[in-house]
Amino acid sequence: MADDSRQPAAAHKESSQPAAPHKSGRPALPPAPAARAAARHLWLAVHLPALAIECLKLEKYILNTSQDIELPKVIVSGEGVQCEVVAADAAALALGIRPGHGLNAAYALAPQLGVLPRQPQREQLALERLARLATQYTPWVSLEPPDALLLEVRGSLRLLGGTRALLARWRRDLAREGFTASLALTPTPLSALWSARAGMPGAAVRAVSGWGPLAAALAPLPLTATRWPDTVLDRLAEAGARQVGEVLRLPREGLARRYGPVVAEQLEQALGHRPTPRARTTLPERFMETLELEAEATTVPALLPAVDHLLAALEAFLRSRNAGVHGVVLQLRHRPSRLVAETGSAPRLTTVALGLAAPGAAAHRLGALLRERLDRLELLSPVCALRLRSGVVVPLPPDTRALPGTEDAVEAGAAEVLLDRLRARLGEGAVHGLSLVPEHRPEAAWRRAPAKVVRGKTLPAAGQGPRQGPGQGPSKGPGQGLGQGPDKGRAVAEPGVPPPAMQRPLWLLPAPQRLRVREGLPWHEGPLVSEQGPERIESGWWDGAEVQRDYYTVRRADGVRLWVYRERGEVEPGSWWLHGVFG
Amino acid sequence: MSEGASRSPGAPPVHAEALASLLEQSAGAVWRVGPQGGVSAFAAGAYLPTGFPRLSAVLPGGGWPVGTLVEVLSARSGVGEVSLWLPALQQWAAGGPARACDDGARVPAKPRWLAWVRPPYVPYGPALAQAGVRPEQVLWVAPESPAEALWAMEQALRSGACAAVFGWAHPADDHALRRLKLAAAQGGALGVLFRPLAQVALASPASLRLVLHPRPAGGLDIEVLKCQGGRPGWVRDALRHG
Repeated sequence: MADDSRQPAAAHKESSQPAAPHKSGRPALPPAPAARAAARHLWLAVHLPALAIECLKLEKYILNTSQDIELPKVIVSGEGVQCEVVAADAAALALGIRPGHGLNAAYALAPQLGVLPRQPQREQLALERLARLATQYTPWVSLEPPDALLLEVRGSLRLLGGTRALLARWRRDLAREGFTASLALTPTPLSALWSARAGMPGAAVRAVSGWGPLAAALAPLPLTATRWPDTVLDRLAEAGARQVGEVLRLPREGLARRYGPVVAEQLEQALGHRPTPRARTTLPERFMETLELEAEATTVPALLPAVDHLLAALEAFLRSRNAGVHGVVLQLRHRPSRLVAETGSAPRLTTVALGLAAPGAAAHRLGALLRERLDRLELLSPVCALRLRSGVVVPLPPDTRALPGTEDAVEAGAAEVLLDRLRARLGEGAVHGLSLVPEHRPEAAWRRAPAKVVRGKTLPAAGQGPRQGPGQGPSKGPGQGLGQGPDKGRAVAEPGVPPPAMQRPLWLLPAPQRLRVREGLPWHEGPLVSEQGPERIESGWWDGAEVQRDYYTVRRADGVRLWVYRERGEVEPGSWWLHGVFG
Repeated sequence: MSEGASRSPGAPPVHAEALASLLEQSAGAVWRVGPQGGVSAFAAGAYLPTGFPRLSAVLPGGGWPVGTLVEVLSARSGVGEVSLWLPALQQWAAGGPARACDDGARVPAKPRWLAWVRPPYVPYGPALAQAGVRPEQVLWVAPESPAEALWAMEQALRSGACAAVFGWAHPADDHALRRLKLAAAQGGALGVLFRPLAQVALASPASLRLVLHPRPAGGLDIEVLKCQGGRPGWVRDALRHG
């Protein structure tokens, strides 16, 4: 046998003595040398006995109109006579219905019964969702379908403040997600699983942290917790073994021969004599989760709890990676219309895409932004499901913010939040920044740019030294605010900034506006008096958009100052055009 | 004392202006007793020199109030309602009013956005650059409706990410203005709302209401319609220096 080679490890015998009470006269199983000194791992098993029904109960958040909510409900699997109850809700349990009952028996107990088929896919999704939550506590999470999770927690116990704190937090998480679970904490994955399956939800957690008491702790577990095949369990029962301890007492050479290799192997794994490989669940690097609404939502407020729910899952997903997203996409799937008239108009999917100025992870921030978008949404037909997808997941830079309490700390992040909020409500196309282009043609000298967050340190010129206020600068005559400040010298050096002598208007018209001419002079709601000019601009012969213009600053009788030019090119020479307003 | 002196019947206006000009130059270095008798928070950056001595002379604190709402009314746009703010823009672009430390040294504040909400035309980058505003400091928000513009102004003011928010939102009711004023106080930003002259008759919660009257020969007369902590009055040829 495989473990015979390990028998010589007799020095460890005394410590394993209490672990394996034996009658067979054979020495107790010595712990595997690798796992000998102290349990290197500590596995937290999370058994979810009511997963089949609880994974559907998620939508309780939205259920408020459904009439049959009051009915006791059961989840069944199998067909015909073999159809049996897998899980029952509280109302059904109160009536005496238990998992394992035949459907007929259930009907006998509760004639008014809501019967739902089992949905393995939803169960799997719920497990994955919990696994994602669990990655907050440890990177090593393993799915144990159909109804359990395993978490290796030894490495993070200290971080999380010990077993008690970990269990309390994890229980809180489970309760918030609406799952009942029985937990067990032991040094091997299988023993943890068995213990959890044997436990009752809400009962005290079975915790064994060392090798010593492990076998003793396993001994009283019913063999059904091992989930060995029924035939094996039946034959073990014939041999008088109904508990794990009773199997441990059986001569081991015979175990594999009589009951199959699985039994012997799993016992050794449970006790830590053999390694139990457990894959780490690798979660997808993009987050996607769908939430089916049991009751269709016809209004946006009815959707919000479900949206929050998805965002909370997203946040857990991101926190476990210390990552953020640049954006999320929320899809609302509408109920397929029964009326032909409706199908033409109403879309099947409504998509709400949200971009962020800086990668973020906080659910409340994303929630506030999504709400802005959803508030303005009109639901054309009832929504039956929601799907939240993340954009690319990017690592969050370490927080290099100012010391808390200082002025900078308050402002940090405010710009990103504002930008996100404006974009979310007004649309991407409504929020801009500007950039300059070194170009003589006025209409080509600027460009729309994505709004950027101003950082204090990237503005060396602007923030330099004390400033005395412009009153002390070389203030000049009336009406010459432009370019007259102390920044004069710097502004000239800047590419794309015209010299201060050439005044530019604050407002540029989208396109030049033709002016009427009276007695040879331009006219715009009145006669125009020249204040400055001409400034000749000739440029752009190389790209087909050549301009040859003389610009003047003019003043109207009502005080409005305008920027006009006289065309000098071949097309309509001598014509007058309005190009800007000084504001 | 500043505005009291400038309007007291006995004092020749020339002296008042010279004094105002002097105070303007030493902005931030001189503590002045506020209009209510207490010490104004001038040096703490609660007021920003306007850059126009005649105008500063009538304003309490000797400058634009910060962290509140200012209303600018004019019969038409283009008379200089934005140019009025160019010196202030320059200071904001440089990081806002310098804060005085206990030892007298002055610390430039952090540069923040200068937001333009629903301006009547495109804010022209080169002109702003001539005024010392770097293009990346410009946040240009173009909502479709005045109601959205008010919302955007409120968000920008409250965020703390903007030094000043210039908004064109008409119509705007008393309630909306009150919200803007509150948001400006929260975010420590200056909100400037440009409105048509027709709104003069309506009561407004703005701390400062200015009516711009272009002078026939150029320049602006500014009517101070309402001035919290100061008195209403007129500033003749307000943009002329000296």
